[in-house]
Amino acid sequence: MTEYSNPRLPEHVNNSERRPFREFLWLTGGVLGAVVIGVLVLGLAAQWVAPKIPFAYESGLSQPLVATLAGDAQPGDARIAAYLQGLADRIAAAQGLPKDMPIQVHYVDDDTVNALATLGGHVLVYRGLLQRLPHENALTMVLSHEIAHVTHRDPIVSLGRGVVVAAAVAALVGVSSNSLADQVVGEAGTLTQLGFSRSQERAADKTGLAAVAALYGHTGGASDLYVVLREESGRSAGAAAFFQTHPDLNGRIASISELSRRNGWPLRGRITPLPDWLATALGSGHHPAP
Amino acid sequence: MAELGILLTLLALGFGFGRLAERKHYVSIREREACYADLLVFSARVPPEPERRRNSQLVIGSVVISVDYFKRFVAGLRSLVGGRVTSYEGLLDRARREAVLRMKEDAARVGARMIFCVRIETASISQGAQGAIGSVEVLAYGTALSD
Repeated sequence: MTEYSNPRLPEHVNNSERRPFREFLWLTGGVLGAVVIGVLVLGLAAQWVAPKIPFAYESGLSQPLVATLAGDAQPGDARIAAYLQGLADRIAAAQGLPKDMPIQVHYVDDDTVNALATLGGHVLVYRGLLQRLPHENALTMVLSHEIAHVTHRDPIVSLGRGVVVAAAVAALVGVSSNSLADQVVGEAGTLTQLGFSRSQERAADKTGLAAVAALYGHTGGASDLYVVLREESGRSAGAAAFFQTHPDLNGRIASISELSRRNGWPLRGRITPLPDWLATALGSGHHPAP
Repeated sequence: MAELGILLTLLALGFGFGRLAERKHYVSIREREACYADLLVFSARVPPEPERRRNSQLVIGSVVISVDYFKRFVAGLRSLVGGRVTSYEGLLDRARREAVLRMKEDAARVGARMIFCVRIETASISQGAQGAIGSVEVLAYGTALSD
Protein backbone atom coordinates (compact mmCIF):
# COMPACT_ATOMS: atom_id res chain seq x y z
CA MET A 1 0.00 0.00 0.00
CA THR A 2 2.79 2.34 -0.85
CA GLU A 3 0.58 4.83 -2.60
CA TYR A 4 -1.41 5.61 0.57
CA SER A 5 -0.27 7.56 3.59
CA ASN A 6 -1.73 8.73 6.87
CA PRO A 7 -0.32 12.12 7.80
CA ARG A 8 -1.13 14.07 10.97
CA LEU A 9 -4.09 16.27 10.13
CA PRO A 10 -4.47 19.82 11.43
CA GLU A 11 -6.23 19.83 14.80
CA HIS A 12 -8.81 22.53 14.77
CA VAL A 13 -10.78 21.94 11.63
CA ASN A 14 -13.75 20.40 13.40
CA ASN A 15 -13.06 21.73 16.82
CA SER A 16 -12.59 25.46 16.76
CA GLU A 17 -13.68 26.22 20.31
CA ARG A 18 -10.74 28.21 21.52
CA ARG A 19 -12.46 30.43 24.07
CA PRO A 20 -15.37 28.70 25.73
CA PHE A 21 -15.46 31.05 28.70
CA ARG A 22 -15.66 34.16 26.58
CA GLU A 23 -18.46 32.67 24.53
CA PHE A 24 -20.29 31.85 27.77
CA LEU A 25 -19.96 35.45 28.99
CA TRP A 26 -21.17 36.89 25.69
CA LEU A 27 -24.16 34.58 25.54
CA THR A 28 -25.18 35.00 29.16
CA GLY A 29 -24.72 38.75 29.10
CA GLY A 30 -26.59 39.07 25.84
CA VAL A 31 -29.51 36.89 26.83
CA LEU A 32 -29.86 38.41 30.30
CA GLY A 33 -29.60 41.90 28.85
CA ALA A 34 -32.29 41.10 26.31
CA VAL A 35 -34.53 39.65 29.01
CA VAL A 36 -34.12 42.68 31.26
CA ILE A 37 -34.83 45.12 28.44
CA GLY A 38 -37.75 43.06 27.22
CA VAL A 39 -39.29 42.90 30.68
CA LEU A 40 -38.88 46.64 31.19
CA VAL A 41 -40.50 47.43 27.87
CA LEU A 42 -43.35 45.02 28.52
CA GLY A 43 -43.82 46.50 31.96
CA LEU A 44 -44.11 49.99 30.52
CA ALA A 45 -46.53 48.82 27.87
CA ALA A 46 -48.66 47.14 30.53
CA GLN A 47 -48.60 50.32 32.59
CA TRP A 48 -49.91 52.20 29.58
CA VAL A 49 -52.66 49.71 28.73
CA ALA A 50 -53.89 48.78 32.20
CA PRO A 51 -55.70 52.01 33.08
CA LYS A 52 -57.75 51.61 29.93
CA ILE A 53 -59.38 48.53 31.41
CA PRO A 54 -62.80 49.69 32.63
CA PHE A 55 -63.10 49.99 36.41
CA ALA A 56 -66.19 47.79 36.34
CA TYR A 57 -64.06 44.81 35.28
CA GLU A 58 -61.98 45.05 38.46
CA SER A 59 -64.83 43.89 40.68
CA GLY A 60 -64.72 40.39 39.24
CA LEU A 61 -61.17 39.99 40.50
CA SER A 62 -61.49 41.90 43.72
CA GLN A 63 -63.85 39.73 45.77
CA PRO A 64 -61.50 36.78 46.30
CA LEU A 65 -58.63 39.22 46.79
CA VAL A 66 -60.45 41.10 49.57
CA ALA A 67 -61.35 37.80 51.20
CA THR A 68 -57.70 36.74 51.18
CA LEU A 69 -56.44 40.05 52.50
CA ALA A 70 -59.02 40.21 55.29
CA GLY A 71 -57.97 36.72 56.27
CA ASP A 72 -59.68 34.93 59.11
CA ALA A 73 -60.48 38.10 61.03
CA GLN A 74 -64.06 38.83 61.96
CA PRO A 75 -65.87 41.64 60.09
CA GLY A 76 -65.51 43.94 63.10
CA ASP A 77 -67.67 46.63 64.62
CA ALA A 78 -70.20 47.92 62.10
CA ARG A 79 -70.14 51.39 63.65
CA ILE A 80 -66.43 51.73 62.97
CA ALA A 81 -66.96 50.53 59.41
CA ALA A 82 -69.76 53.04 58.90
CA TYR A 83 -67.63 55.86 60.33
CA LEU A 84 -64.74 54.97 58.04
CA GLN A 85 -67.06 54.67 55.05
CA GLY A 86 -68.48 58.13 55.77
CA LEU A 87 -64.99 59.63 55.86
CA ALA A 88 -64.05 57.77 52.69
CA ASP A 89 -67.08 59.06 50.82
CA ARG A 90 -66.18 62.66 51.69
CA ILE A 91 -62.58 62.09 50.65
CA ALA A 92 -63.64 60.47 47.39
CA ALA A 93 -65.80 63.49 46.60
CA ALA A 94 -62.89 65.81 47.44
CA GLN A 95 -60.63 63.88 45.06
CA GLY A 96 -63.21 64.13 42.31
CA LEU A 97 -63.59 60.37 42.01
CA PRO A 98 -66.37 59.62 39.48
CA LYS A 99 -69.59 58.08 40.77
CA ASP A 100 -69.05 54.82 38.91
CA MET A 101 -65.84 54.19 40.90
CA PRO A 102 -67.22 53.73 44.41
CA ILE A 103 -64.93 53.28 47.39
CA GLN A 104 -65.80 50.46 49.76
CA VAL A 105 -64.01 50.52 53.08
CA HIS A 106 -63.51 47.27 54.99
CA TYR A 107 -62.58 47.44 58.65
CA VAL A 108 -60.59 44.35 59.58
CA ASP A 109 -60.45 43.42 63.27
CA ASP A 110 -56.81 42.36 63.22
CA ASP A 111 -53.61 43.46 64.93
CA THR A 112 -51.88 44.25 61.64
CA VAL A 113 -50.71 47.85 61.53
CA ASN A 114 -51.58 48.61 57.95
CA ALA A 115 -54.10 49.97 55.48
CA LEU A 116 -54.22 49.14 51.82
CA ALA A 117 -56.14 49.69 48.62
CA THR A 118 -56.80 46.98 46.10
CA LEU A 119 -58.82 46.30 42.96
CA GLY A 120 -62.39 47.40 42.63
CA GLY A 121 -62.05 50.39 44.93
CA HIS A 122 -61.79 48.24 48.06
CA VAL A 123 -59.84 49.82 50.88
CA LEU A 124 -58.93 47.75 53.92
CA VAL A 125 -58.11 49.35 57.25
CA TYR A 126 -56.78 47.18 60.05
CA ARG A 127 -57.52 47.65 63.75
CA GLY A 128 -53.79 47.76 64.57
CA LEU A 129 -53.39 50.93 62.52
CA LEU A 130 -56.57 52.53 63.79
CA GLN A 131 -55.45 52.03 67.38
CA ARG A 132 -52.34 54.09 66.78
CA LEU A 133 -53.94 57.09 65.06
CA PRO A 134 -53.70 60.26 67.14
CA HIS A 135 -56.57 62.19 65.55
CA GLU A 136 -58.96 62.35 62.64
CA ASN A 137 -56.62 64.37 60.43
CA ALA A 138 -54.11 61.52 60.42
CA LEU A 139 -56.87 59.02 59.68
CA THR A 140 -58.07 61.17 56.81
CA MET A 141 -54.54 61.32 55.42
CA VAL A 142 -54.26 57.54 55.53
CA LEU A 143 -57.62 57.00 53.88
CA SER A 144 -56.95 59.77 51.38
CA HIS A 145 -53.65 58.16 50.39
CA GLU A 146 -55.29 54.80 49.80
CA ILE A 147 -58.19 56.34 47.90
CA ALA A 148 -55.65 58.22 45.78
CA HIS A 149 -54.26 54.82 44.72
CA VAL A 150 -57.73 53.93 43.47
CA THR A 151 -58.10 57.30 41.73
CA HIS A 152 -54.84 56.71 39.89
CA ARG A 153 -55.87 53.10 39.04
CA ASP A 154 -52.68 51.87 40.72
CA PRO A 155 -53.98 48.40 41.65
CA ILE A 156 -54.86 47.45 38.08
CA VAL A 157 -51.58 48.90 36.79
CA SER A 158 -49.54 46.83 39.27
CA LEU A 159 -51.52 43.74 38.46
CA GLY A 160 -51.22 44.30 34.73
CA ARG A 161 -47.50 44.85 34.97
CA GLY A 162 -47.07 41.80 37.16
CA VAL A 163 -49.10 39.55 34.89
CA VAL A 164 -47.34 40.68 31.72
CA VAL A 165 -43.89 40.22 33.23
CA ALA A 166 -44.81 36.81 34.64
CA ALA A 167 -46.21 35.70 31.29
CA ALA A 168 -43.10 36.87 29.44
CA VAL A 169 -40.85 35.08 31.90
CA ALA A 170 -42.94 31.92 31.65
CA ALA A 171 -42.70 32.02 27.86
CA LEU A 172 -38.94 32.42 28.00
CA VAL A 173 -38.57 29.70 30.62
CA GLY A 174 -40.68 27.33 28.55
CA VAL A 175 -38.40 27.76 25.57
CA SER A 176 -35.12 27.20 27.38
CA SER A 177 -33.97 23.61 27.82
CA ASN A 178 -32.19 24.03 31.12
CA SER A 179 -34.23 23.34 34.23
CA LEU A 180 -32.02 25.06 36.78
CA ALA A 181 -31.67 28.19 34.68
CA ASP A 182 -35.47 28.10 34.37
CA GLN A 183 -35.84 28.47 38.09
CA VAL A 184 -33.42 31.37 38.28
CA VAL A 185 -35.12 33.29 35.49
CA GLY A 186 -38.52 32.46 36.92
CA GLU A 187 -37.60 33.77 40.33
CA ALA A 188 -36.11 36.90 38.88
CA GLY A 189 -39.42 37.59 37.25
CA THR A 190 -41.47 36.77 40.30
CA LEU A 191 -40.80 40.08 41.95
CA THR A 192 -44.35 40.79 40.96
CA GLN A 193 -46.16 41.32 44.18
CA LEU A 194 -49.27 43.45 44.18
CA GLY A 195 -47.15 46.22 45.64
CA PHE A 196 -46.94 49.73 44.36
CA SER A 197 -43.81 51.37 43.06
CA ARG A 198 -42.17 54.31 44.76
CA SER A 199 -43.43 56.75 42.15
CA GLN A 200 -46.97 55.46 42.62
CA GLU A 201 -46.66 55.98 46.36
CA ARG A 202 -45.37 59.52 45.91
CA ALA A 203 -48.19 60.39 43.53
CA ALA A 204 -50.72 58.97 45.98
CA ASP A 205 -49.22 61.11 48.75
CA LYS A 206 -49.61 64.19 46.59
CA THR A 207 -53.23 63.59 45.63
CA GLY A 208 -54.04 62.42 49.15
CA LEU A 209 -52.59 65.54 50.73
CA ALA A 210 -54.51 67.77 48.32
CA ALA A 211 -57.76 66.12 49.43
CA VAL A 212 -56.84 66.59 53.10
CA ALA A 213 -56.14 70.28 52.47
CA ALA A 214 -59.47 70.60 50.65
CA LEU A 215 -61.40 68.98 53.50
CA TYR A 216 -59.75 70.69 56.49
CA GLY A 217 -58.23 73.79 54.97
CA HIS A 218 -54.77 72.84 56.23
CA THR A 219 -52.38 69.91 56.27
CA GLY A 220 -51.60 69.90 59.96
CA GLY A 221 -51.57 66.43 61.40
CA ALA A 222 -51.20 64.72 58.04
CA SER A 223 -47.78 63.35 58.83
CA ASP A 224 -48.48 62.75 62.52
CA LEU A 225 -49.18 59.06 61.94
CA TYR A 226 -45.75 58.52 60.45
CA VAL A 227 -44.08 60.53 63.21
CA VAL A 228 -45.89 58.54 65.90
CA LEU A 229 -44.99 55.23 64.34
CA ARG A 230 -41.41 56.23 63.78
CA GLU A 231 -41.05 56.99 67.48
CA GLU A 232 -42.86 53.84 68.44
CA SER A 233 -41.06 51.53 66.02
CA GLY A 234 -38.49 50.48 68.56
CA ARG A 235 -41.07 49.57 71.17
CA SER A 236 -43.71 47.48 69.48
CA ALA A 237 -43.49 44.79 66.84
CA GLY A 238 -46.57 45.98 64.99
CA ALA A 239 -45.16 49.45 64.47
CA ALA A 240 -41.84 47.98 63.38
CA ALA A 241 -43.65 45.96 60.72
CA PHE A 242 -45.38 49.10 59.45
CA PHE A 243 -41.99 50.73 59.30
CA GLN A 244 -40.70 47.93 57.11
CA THR A 245 -43.54 48.07 54.60
CA HIS A 246 -43.32 51.85 54.30
CA PRO A 247 -39.59 52.26 53.90
CA ASP A 248 -39.43 55.80 52.69
CA LEU A 249 -41.01 57.27 55.83
CA ASN A 250 -38.62 60.15 56.45
CA GLY A 251 -38.74 61.16 52.82
CA ARG A 252 -42.51 61.14 52.85
CA ILE A 253 -42.74 63.23 56.01
CA ALA A 254 -40.42 65.76 54.39
CA SER A 255 -42.33 65.75 51.14
CA ILE A 256 -45.61 66.42 52.94
CA SER A 257 -44.15 69.66 54.34
CA GLU A 258 -42.65 70.50 50.98
CA LEU A 259 -45.91 69.96 49.10
CA SER A 260 -47.83 72.04 51.62
CA ARG A 261 -45.39 74.90 51.25
CA ARG A 262 -45.46 74.73 47.48
CA ASN A 263 -49.26 74.73 47.27
CA GLY A 264 -49.74 77.31 49.96
CA TRP A 265 -51.58 75.03 52.37
CA PRO A 266 -51.20 76.03 55.99
CA LEU A 267 -49.13 73.56 57.97
CA ARG A 268 -51.02 74.23 61.17
CA GLY A 269 -54.67 74.37 61.92
CA ARG A 270 -57.45 73.02 64.07
CA ILE A 271 -57.00 69.31 64.67
CA THR A 272 -60.23 67.30 64.65
CA PRO A 273 -60.16 64.58 67.30
CA LEU A 274 -61.43 61.06 66.70
CA PRO A 275 -64.97 60.29 67.90
CA ASP A 276 -65.28 59.56 71.65
CA TRP A 277 -66.78 56.13 71.23
CA LEU A 278 -63.94 54.94 68.98
CA ALA A 279 -61.43 54.27 71.75
CA THR A 280 -63.73 51.86 73.57
CA ALA A 281 -64.92 50.32 70.34
CA LEU A 282 -61.34 49.51 69.34
CA GLY A 283 -60.74 47.63 72.54
CA SER A 284 -57.91 47.65 75.02
CA GLY A 285 -55.14 48.00 72.50
CA HIS A 286 -55.95 51.61 71.80
CA HIS A 287 -53.03 53.89 72.65
CA PRO A 288 -52.99 57.04 70.58
CA ALA A 289 -50.23 59.61 70.83
CA PRO A 290 -50.88 62.69 72.98
CA MET B 1 -30.59 33.40 45.56
CA ALA B 2 -29.61 29.90 46.62
CA GLU B 3 -30.53 28.56 43.20
CA LEU B 4 -28.23 31.11 41.59
CA GLY B 5 -25.40 29.93 43.82
CA ILE B 6 -26.06 26.30 42.92
CA LEU B 7 -26.20 27.20 39.24
CA LEU B 8 -22.89 29.04 39.38
CA THR B 9 -21.23 26.20 41.32
CA LEU B 10 -22.44 23.63 38.81
CA LEU B 11 -21.24 25.80 35.95
CA ALA B 12 -17.84 26.24 37.53
CA LEU B 13 -17.53 22.50 38.20
CA GLY B 14 -18.65 21.67 34.69
CA PHE B 15 -16.26 24.16 33.19
CA GLY B 16 -13.29 23.07 35.29
CA PHE B 17 -13.71 19.32 35.11
CA GLY B 18 -14.90 19.45 31.53
CA ARG B 19 -11.81 21.29 30.35
CA LEU B 20 -9.54 18.98 32.31
CA ALA B 21 -11.15 15.87 30.90
CA GLU B 22 -11.08 17.29 27.39
CA ARG B 23 -7.42 18.15 27.54
CA LYS B 24 -6.39 14.75 28.90
CA HIS B 25 -8.50 13.03 26.30
CA TYR B 26 -6.96 14.93 23.42
CA VAL B 27 -3.47 14.11 24.62
CA SER B 28 -4.38 10.43 24.71
CA ILE B 29 -6.06 10.65 21.30
CA ARG B 30 -3.03 12.21 19.61
CA GLU B 31 -0.73 9.66 21.17
CA ARG B 32 -2.74 6.72 19.94
CA GLU B 33 -3.32 8.21 16.51
CA ALA B 34 0.43 8.41 16.09
CA CYS B 35 0.68 4.84 17.30
CA TYR B 36 -1.90 3.51 14.83
CA ALA B 37 -0.92 5.68 11.88
CA ASP B 38 0.11 2.61 9.87
CA LEU B 39 -3.30 1.05 10.07
CA LEU B 40 -5.20 2.77 7.28
CA VAL B 41 -8.92 3.27 7.23
CA PHE B 42 -10.95 3.82 4.07
CA SER B 43 -14.53 4.75 3.55
CA ALA B 44 -14.39 3.18 0.06
CA ARG B 45 -16.37 -0.02 -0.38
CA VAL B 46 -13.96 -1.84 -2.67
CA PRO B 47 -10.36 -2.57 -1.58
CA PRO B 48 -7.48 -2.59 -4.09
CA GLU B 49 -7.13 -6.03 -5.77
CA PRO B 50 -10.66 -6.98 -4.87
CA GLU B 51 -10.33 -10.48 -6.37
CA ARG B 52 -7.70 -11.49 -3.81
CA ARG B 53 -8.78 -13.73 -1.00
CA ARG B 54 -8.18 -12.14 2.36
CA ASN B 55 -9.17 -12.68 5.92
CA SER B 56 -11.87 -10.18 6.73
CA GLN B 57 -13.65 -9.31 9.95
CA LEU B 58 -16.17 -6.76 11.16
CA VAL B 59 -14.50 -4.40 13.62
CA ILE B 60 -16.32 -1.93 15.81
CA GLY B 61 -15.28 0.98 17.96
CA SER B 62 -17.79 2.83 20.07
CA VAL B 63 -17.58 5.49 22.71
CA VAL B 64 -20.11 7.34 24.87
CA ILE B 65 -19.14 10.77 26.13
CA SER B 66 -21.28 12.79 28.50
CA VAL B 67 -21.92 16.51 28.17
CA ASP B 68 -20.88 18.53 31.19
CA TYR B 69 -23.16 21.11 32.77
CA PHE B 70 -21.29 24.09 31.39
CA LYS B 71 -21.56 22.85 27.80
CA ARG B 72 -25.22 22.10 28.25
CA PHE B 73 -25.91 25.58 29.65
CA VAL B 74 -24.11 27.30 26.78
CA ALA B 75 -25.90 25.09 24.27
CA GLY B 76 -29.22 25.98 25.93
CA LEU B 77 -28.48 29.68 25.45
CA ARG B 78 -27.45 28.97 21.87
CA SER B 79 -30.79 27.34 21.29
CA LEU B 80 -32.35 30.75 22.00
CA VAL B 81 -30.14 32.89 19.80
CA GLY B 82 -28.92 30.38 17.17
CA GLY B 83 -25.48 29.89 15.69
CA ARG B 84 -22.76 27.27 15.91
CA VAL B 85 -22.77 25.28 19.09
CA THR B 86 -19.00 25.14 19.37
CA SER B 87 -19.18 23.51 22.78
CA TYR B 88 -20.69 20.40 21.21
CA GLU B 89 -18.45 20.50 18.15
CA GLY B 90 -15.39 19.76 20.26
CA LEU B 91 -17.25 16.97 21.98
CA LEU B 92 -18.18 15.26 18.76
CA ASP B 93 -14.71 15.68 17.31
CA ARG B 94 -13.26 13.87 20.33
CA ALA B 95 -15.90 11.19 20.22
CA ARG B 96 -15.43 10.48 16.51
CA ARG B 97 -11.67 10.22 16.77
CA GLU B 98 -11.92 8.04 19.84
CA ALA B 99 -14.39 5.72 18.13
CA VAL B 100 -12.15 5.37 15.09
CA LEU B 101 -9.19 4.65 17.35
CA ARG B 102 -11.06 1.95 19.22
CA MET B 103 -12.04 0.42 15.91
CA LYS B 104 -8.38 0.41 14.93
CA GLU B 105 -7.47 -1.26 18.22
CA ASP B 106 -10.05 -3.91 17.51
CA ALA B 107 -8.57 -4.42 14.06
CA ALA B 108 -5.01 -4.54 15.33
CA ARG B 109 -6.00 -7.27 17.74
CA VAL B 110 -6.95 -9.53 14.81
CA GLY B 111 -3.82 -8.59 12.93
CA ALA B 112 -5.45 -6.50 10.22
CA ARG B 113 -3.53 -4.19 7.91
CA MET B 114 -6.38 -1.98 6.80
CA ILE B 115 -10.04 -1.34 7.42
CA PHE B 116 -12.43 -0.80 4.53
CA CYS B 117 -15.93 0.53 4.20
CA VAL B 118 -15.71 2.47 7.43
CA ARG B 119 -18.96 4.10 8.59
CA ILE B 120 -19.44 6.41 11.52
CA GLU B 121 -22.77 6.85 13.28
CA THR B 122 -23.74 9.24 16.01
CA ALA B 123 -26.55 8.81 18.49
CA SER B 124 -27.63 11.12 21.27
CA ILE B 125 -28.69 9.64 24.55
CA SER B 126 -31.23 12.11 25.87
CA GLN B 127 -31.46 12.95 29.51
CA GLY B 128 -33.25 15.51 31.54
CA ALA B 129 -36.14 17.80 30.74
CA GLN B 130 -37.28 18.55 27.23
CA GLY B 131 -34.89 16.11 25.60
CA ALA B 132 -31.74 17.94 26.59
CA ILE B 133 -28.68 16.12 25.32
CA GLY B 134 -27.24 13.96 28.08
CA SER B 135 -24.55 11.91 26.34
CA VAL B 136 -23.47 11.33 22.80
CA GLU B 137 -22.55 7.92 21.46
CA VAL B 138 -20.38 7.49 18.37
CA LEU B 139 -20.05 4.16 16.65
CA ALA B 140 -17.39 3.47 14.00
CA TYR B 141 -17.42 0.15 12.15
CA GLY B 142 -15.80 -1.35 9.10
CA THR B 143 -14.37 -4.43 7.47
CA ALA B 144 -10.85 -5.20 8.66
CA LEU B 145 -8.73 -6.92 6.05
CA SER B 146 -5.57 -8.86 6.79
CA ASP B 147 -3.19 -10.03 4.12
